[in-house]
Amino acid sequence: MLRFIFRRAAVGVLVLVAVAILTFALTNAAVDPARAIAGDSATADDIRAIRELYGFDRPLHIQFLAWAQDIIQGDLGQSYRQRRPVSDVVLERLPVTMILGATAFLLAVVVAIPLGILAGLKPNSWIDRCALTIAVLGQAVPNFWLALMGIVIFSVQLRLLPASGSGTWQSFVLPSVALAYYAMPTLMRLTRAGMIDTLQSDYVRTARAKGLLPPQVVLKHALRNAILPLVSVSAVQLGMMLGGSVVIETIFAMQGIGYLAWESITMSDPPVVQAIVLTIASFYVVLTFSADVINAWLDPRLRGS
Amino acid sequence: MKFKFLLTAAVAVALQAAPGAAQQSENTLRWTSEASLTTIDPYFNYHREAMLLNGQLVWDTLAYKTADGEYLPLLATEWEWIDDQTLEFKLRDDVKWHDGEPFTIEDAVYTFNYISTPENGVNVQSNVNWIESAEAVDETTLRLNLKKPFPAAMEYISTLHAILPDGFFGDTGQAGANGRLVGTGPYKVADFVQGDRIRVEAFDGYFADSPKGMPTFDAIVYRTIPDTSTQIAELLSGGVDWIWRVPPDQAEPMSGVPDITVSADETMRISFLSMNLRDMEGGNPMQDAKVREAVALAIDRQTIVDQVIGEGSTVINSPCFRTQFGCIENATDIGYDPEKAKELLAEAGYGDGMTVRMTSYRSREWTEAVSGYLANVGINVEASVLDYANARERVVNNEVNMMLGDWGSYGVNDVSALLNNFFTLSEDDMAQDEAVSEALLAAAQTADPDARMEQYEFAVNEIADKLYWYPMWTHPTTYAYNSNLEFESHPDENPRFFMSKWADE
Amino acid sequence: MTTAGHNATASEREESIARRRSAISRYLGHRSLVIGGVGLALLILIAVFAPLLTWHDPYMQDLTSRRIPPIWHGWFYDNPKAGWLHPLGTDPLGRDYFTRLVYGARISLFVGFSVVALSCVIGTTLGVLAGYFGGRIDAVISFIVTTRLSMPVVLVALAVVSIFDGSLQVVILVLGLLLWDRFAVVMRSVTLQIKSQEFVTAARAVGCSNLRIILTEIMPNVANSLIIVATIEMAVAIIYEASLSFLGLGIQPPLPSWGLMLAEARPEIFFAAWMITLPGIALFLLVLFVNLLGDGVRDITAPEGRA
Repeated sequence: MLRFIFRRAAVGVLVLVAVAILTFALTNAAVDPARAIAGDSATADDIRAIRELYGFDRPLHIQFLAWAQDIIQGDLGQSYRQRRPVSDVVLERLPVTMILGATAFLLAVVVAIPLGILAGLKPNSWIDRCALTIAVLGQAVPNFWLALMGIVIFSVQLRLLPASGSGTWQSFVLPSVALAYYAMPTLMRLTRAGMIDTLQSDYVRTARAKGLLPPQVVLKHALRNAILPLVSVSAVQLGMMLGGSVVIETIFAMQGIGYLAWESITMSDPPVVQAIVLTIASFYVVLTFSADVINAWLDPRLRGS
Repeated sequence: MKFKFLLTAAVAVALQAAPGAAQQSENTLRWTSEASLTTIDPYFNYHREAMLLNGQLVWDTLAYKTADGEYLPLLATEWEWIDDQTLEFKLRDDVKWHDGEPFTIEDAVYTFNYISTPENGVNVQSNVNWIESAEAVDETTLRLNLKKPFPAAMEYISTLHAILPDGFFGDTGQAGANGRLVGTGPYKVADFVQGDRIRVEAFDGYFADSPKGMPTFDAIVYRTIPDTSTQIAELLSGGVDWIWRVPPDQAEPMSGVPDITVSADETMRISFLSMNLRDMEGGNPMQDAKVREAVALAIDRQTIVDQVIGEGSTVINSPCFRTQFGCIENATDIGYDPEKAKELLAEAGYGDGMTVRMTSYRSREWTEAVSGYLANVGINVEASVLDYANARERVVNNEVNMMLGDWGSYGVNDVSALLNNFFTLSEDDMAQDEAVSEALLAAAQTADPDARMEQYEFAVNEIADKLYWYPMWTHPTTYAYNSNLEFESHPDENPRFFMSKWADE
Repeated sequence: MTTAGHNATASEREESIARRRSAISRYLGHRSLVIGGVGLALLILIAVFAPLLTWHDPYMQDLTSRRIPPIWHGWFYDNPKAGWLHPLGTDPLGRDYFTRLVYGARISLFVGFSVVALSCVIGTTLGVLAGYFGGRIDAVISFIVTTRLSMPVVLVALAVVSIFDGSLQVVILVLGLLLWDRFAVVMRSVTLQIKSQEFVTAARAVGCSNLRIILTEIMPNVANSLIIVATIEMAVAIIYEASLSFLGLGIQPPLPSWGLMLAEARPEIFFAAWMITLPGIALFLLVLFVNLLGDGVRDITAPEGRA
């Protein structure tokens, strides 16, 4: 088990290094950092001076190594636009996205798993059909459209929930639902398929036919099997939510890193974009790593692979 | 359909409820705009929201400019031109900063010397680059030395040059780096979250005879909401009390909503189609005067104004606003004539059509309307609608043939605030015409009004005749706010929140 | 299917017909497959024959007839502006909305198919190679897949598009280069299964080259899974394009992308909601049909997953 954890952790670190290289290459192709730092009123001489001062005239791979070294020491650089450390800017905005992502995910899980179990227990029943319909519709509605409709109905008409902001818990309701609705179908389908698979396995069928297994045991057994893939997919979904919150946060003017990312992209602030991509990638890596470990713990067979 | 009908009905019913009643009882004004303010001071900003709106709430200028353009005493009780390049101000000695410290002449000297030092990099250099230095003659007499004669000085001093406390930017250039994020204005900063919100609260110690008056609200809260539809949703649902720059198409139905007041005002802001005459990689068809004329002839400005921009906008025929000193009316007489445009294009060798790049930063709809007209005569436009900084970047880097730009002159009633920013051979100058630049620079440094006028006349005519700019239209600003709010808008596009208040119930 | 010969007995013939019927009815009887297939086919037809369906030009502006409401506003709200000249109304620049929706189908479908084509090639190549060769190649490819998965799609796409400016080509390229992971993962596991089957080992025993085995033995057998993944990815790609355009960093005006139409109509949501509802419905239907089709194919080709 330890060996397994160690190997997975090593892969995770390598992935992060690869992401760092890609992000660095991408954002450096985007903007001339010297020009961005110098500001709008700078002359060509100013820019040249800044280029030398900050070392932007060095070869790209050397710059990358310097940048990577800073990151390892926890220094993500300076935001060009806000003129303060990137880590401050990102950390300030992180909680909103974390809360949003976590609520949306919990919401998706709380709805999807019971629904998936019920649907899986009685395939083709009305409840199964309902669940599948919700899933199919859910995947087809773009979440930004859902968000806008939510604003019209719940903020403007009913005046129950605020239309924007991230100051109170009420302001998290609409965005969480919009974000959760898109992730829910995948989780629901997976639970359902897992249930069906297990219930149809020879072992369970025989045992059930003989009346050897009480329903609770069947459920427990089926659930355990259904949850294995769910754990891995959950990690992916949670990671996707952090990324997908860009659209939602922008619509609801929420002060999270998704909105910050959009702002930084449109206003040419590459260090912030780099930091956000790295942050989300780290989350993803940590989440999948944890999922792998949990799965290996649940099912020892996986440890060999 | 049925659903839609229900929806419309429900909106109508729900909107009957009075928005924002709670805020009124708390005596708070909540307003929103799209500007993401990353710094609170009025100088390291492009946004009017910071330079004027919040700037005037928290800070004071030496003089105060009324909506009619009159200068009233504010931090200075009187002022006088000693000569063409020297201004003297008599300062008040009874004003206190928000932390209780007295306002002194050191503060004013610091402010002017800091902002006029180019290395400090104030965002809009043309607002400050005519100041040489400030010095204290005695304890209440401030002398301002100008680099050159600058007749429009009071326009800037009375609107944009907020006086900050001594050492405000510290060594780092951060607002309030010295630990004193204070002003002398009617409201003090209570909460500032970069890029998100600013809350200011009434300052009880404000001096009684200020033309701005004593604070009328207990608090004024600004919030950044980037999306117009979310702003409207907030107003309709009572989440905010005041929004501006409402799209005309939404303004009209909104005026039918109970308890929402909509008003549109013409402003000093003008739109222009700026043409790039510099050499570009792969050639630049705009260098051909016939092409520029064809572009101008192809656009039906009147229809765009009537149908798209709406109330409060008029077509202009000069590259400036009519009330600005130095502006002459009807500098161009080019009107809508697509046939002639096609002929000119054919003569110029573009009979089979051509492709140009254009950038803009105000309205996607206007941009598309202009591109659509150009497409009709065979000019295919690759348009990019960006924010101002990025659009400007395209101009500076010489990447676009045209820019559909606009400029509000910061409410300064002098063409120097407009043309000198675009035609003085700087990076923003797409024409690079030395004669025009010379005239503009000379005019800005001349005290004699007739001589100035002569120089401006030359520049304005050249810009219009050679079609460096094709003048387009004036901008309306449409405001929408809670009907219980007593608010008055003015053409200088400077919402004076300190003069509004909640109506008595 | 045997074509029943003259010698065949009546019962044999009947059985054959019944079998054929059951195969057909299995397809036809599958509701989501039929709805999805027919719906998608219809949308493709609309896209292909767009110029025949409307007499307007999707780019032609007419500022004097802007914001005309759809025809039913004439029926139910007595709006005099509504009429058959513009059955679904006009946008704020006076362009016919129906025409723009119809031409918008071209863009969404084009984006969907191109992105899937690109990502399918990348993903399948990587997946099959990883599954077939295993070992080190598998490890490297798995690593690439994990790296790709850890990069947030929307963010990276936004960043790239902002560098190169939004255009149809850039959007397709970016999404195609980002959305191949599912192809790779699925193809890898399918290849693993097929590899161990008899006909593959047999082919190898005869001395067929790896390339030949992959092309002639493996590829034909992964087709079903490929179609299923392709439908999923197509739906995802269409939504992503709409999201990018919605954020203003996707396809640029005046192209009538549904996402862009939604973005442009955003402020209209309170007082002219039809302007945002119509492209919303169009987008919803397209994604729904693609998903239904994918579900149907999956149910029929993989009966064990069928409910």
